[in-house]
Amino acid sequence: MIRPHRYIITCLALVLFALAGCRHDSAALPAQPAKPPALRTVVSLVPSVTETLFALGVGDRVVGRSRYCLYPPAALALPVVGDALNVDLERLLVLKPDLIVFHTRVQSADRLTAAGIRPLAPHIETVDDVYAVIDLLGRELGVEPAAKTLTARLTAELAAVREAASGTDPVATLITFPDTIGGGAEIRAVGRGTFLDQMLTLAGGRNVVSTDSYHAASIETVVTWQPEVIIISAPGDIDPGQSDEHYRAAWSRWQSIPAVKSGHVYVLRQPYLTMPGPRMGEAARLLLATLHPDRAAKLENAAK
Amino acid sequence: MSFTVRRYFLILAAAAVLWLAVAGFSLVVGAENIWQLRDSQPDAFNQILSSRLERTLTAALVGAALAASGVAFQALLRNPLAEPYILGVSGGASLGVILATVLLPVSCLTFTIPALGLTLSAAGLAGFLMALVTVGAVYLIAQRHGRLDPYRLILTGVIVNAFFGAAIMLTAALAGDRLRNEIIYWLMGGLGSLRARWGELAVAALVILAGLAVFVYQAAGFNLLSFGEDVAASLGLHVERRRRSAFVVASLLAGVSVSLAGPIGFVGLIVPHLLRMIFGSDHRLLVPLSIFGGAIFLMIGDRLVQLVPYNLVGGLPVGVVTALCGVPFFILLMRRSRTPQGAAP
Repeated sequence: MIRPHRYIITCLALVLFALAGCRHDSAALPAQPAKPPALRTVVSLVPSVTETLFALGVGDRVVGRSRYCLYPPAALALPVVGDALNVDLERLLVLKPDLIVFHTRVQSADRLTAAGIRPLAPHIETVDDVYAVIDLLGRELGVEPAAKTLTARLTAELAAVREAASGTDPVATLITFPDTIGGGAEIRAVGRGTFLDQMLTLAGGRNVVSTDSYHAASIETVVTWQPEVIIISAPGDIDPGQSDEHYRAAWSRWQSIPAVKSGHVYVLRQPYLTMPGPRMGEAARLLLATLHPDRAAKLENAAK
Repeated sequence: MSFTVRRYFLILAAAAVLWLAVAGFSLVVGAENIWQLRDSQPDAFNQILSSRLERTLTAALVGAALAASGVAFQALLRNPLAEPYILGVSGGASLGVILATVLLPVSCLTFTIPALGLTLSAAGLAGFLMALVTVGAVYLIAQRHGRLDPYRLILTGVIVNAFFGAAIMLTAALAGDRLRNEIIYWLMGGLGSLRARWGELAVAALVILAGLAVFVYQAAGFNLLSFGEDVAASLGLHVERRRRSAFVVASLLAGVSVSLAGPIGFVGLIVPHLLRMIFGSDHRLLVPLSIFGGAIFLMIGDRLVQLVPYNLVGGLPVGVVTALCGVPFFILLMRRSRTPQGAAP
């Protein structure tokens, strides 16, 4: 006869034993550069990092990319060695870069570290994260001056947008994404503290979502938010065949939402809108042009 | 087909040779041409070979475990549709792995046992423990006065699987975007890892090889069981004892496989049925043949997945390939045979 309590005790003991053995080392190895930073090569599986590397002028040292790294065009010539979930381990071992930048958290990757490939998984969500990544890559690759220049340029671009939007009434805005499956009664809303939220605030918008991060919201909740503008971020490379009208149509029955009633539902196709990287100035200007076209025009004239 | 010792050993020797050939083939054939690397990049050559060896051994162990427990369940439950996951073990083990991955901080996902010099993954261990708990729970729910009725067992397994399935979906719904992607991908079953998993592989190999040995030893009893309980009992078999032990061993094998490679579907269904069509349903031969057959099937499946170039559709999970091959095959099989394969005559 099986005596359950004995098994339960054994299992608990095993779990405790396992937890006691947890190793608290970080996934990244201590920096022991085999090569000087100026010679290191990189594989980037994060689109915004790939962009940043090219913007720093070290595009020639990027030796591999992810399937989703599509900008700048020069990056397309690089071999694909993975995506958000997978890495082509064998290809990577042949390419033998000094660094690999992952999208997700790195668990133990000792097959990489044993081969001298250092894994990095920087958290990139906010504007400050973008600056931190630029700084990190500048140091890792020995291009600190280029990193400083890039950071200064981006800071100025964002400041210009904030300046242009100043004095306007913040527009109550919802940023969401297209429904992909089912088109049901739930949407994914961009919450506070995210990159898009920061861009929106800069560009003279007020996020109607008051909670942090991205999350699902029922359409009934959206009605209570009463957004004056709805922005649907639908990067063109994800579903190029789909028309803007199709995305807007999903909202047309909710006439009680001011944005729908007044026709202020916009589909923005630009992939850089959701990419915390060196094109964030463009993202901010795009939102400014959507929310306050007159101010955007003024900004453009001033630039000329 | 008649059973002779000579035929028995000839067939098994042929299977072993084929196993070796496929394993060797798995080491040298892949997306990267390792012959070229041997001279130009000896480091990369060694690292790739080590990774392929680990993958191949994992595929061999998991394939063997799944196919053998498939045979055992089909005989035990006298049901041609029985497969290793039928008693809910995959659901339990999967939930264990997923919960550990979601709840534990990254630094705790792997740990070493210094005394043994082994590195294990907390997720794999949690999966294995949950498999044990599931086996215990299903047994306790399904037994009545210490007797196991096959129909109650199957029903319990289906319900337990549904419960764990819902729990997994709930976990996925509550986890963030990135983790959700990881979970869904893991549920498709795959064999690769950026981490050298020799420690886990060694532990899993011990459990799996022991379980397989038990099945080979019990094979003659499976023959009797497939004639029905009464016949088996009248021929001197301890039906209950045999059923209980085989059920626990088969579930453990499935649980270890899920912990190691995720729930890889259909291996436990296709391989036994295919072999039964070719070699008949004498379990003395069928059990060891399934061990080789399952290993060969999964090794080939994993190689096919590895040969797909990454810029096309990188990193296909092997579980998807086995299931995609499995369904059409199963339909064909069902249409062709007059009586369902594996059912009692």
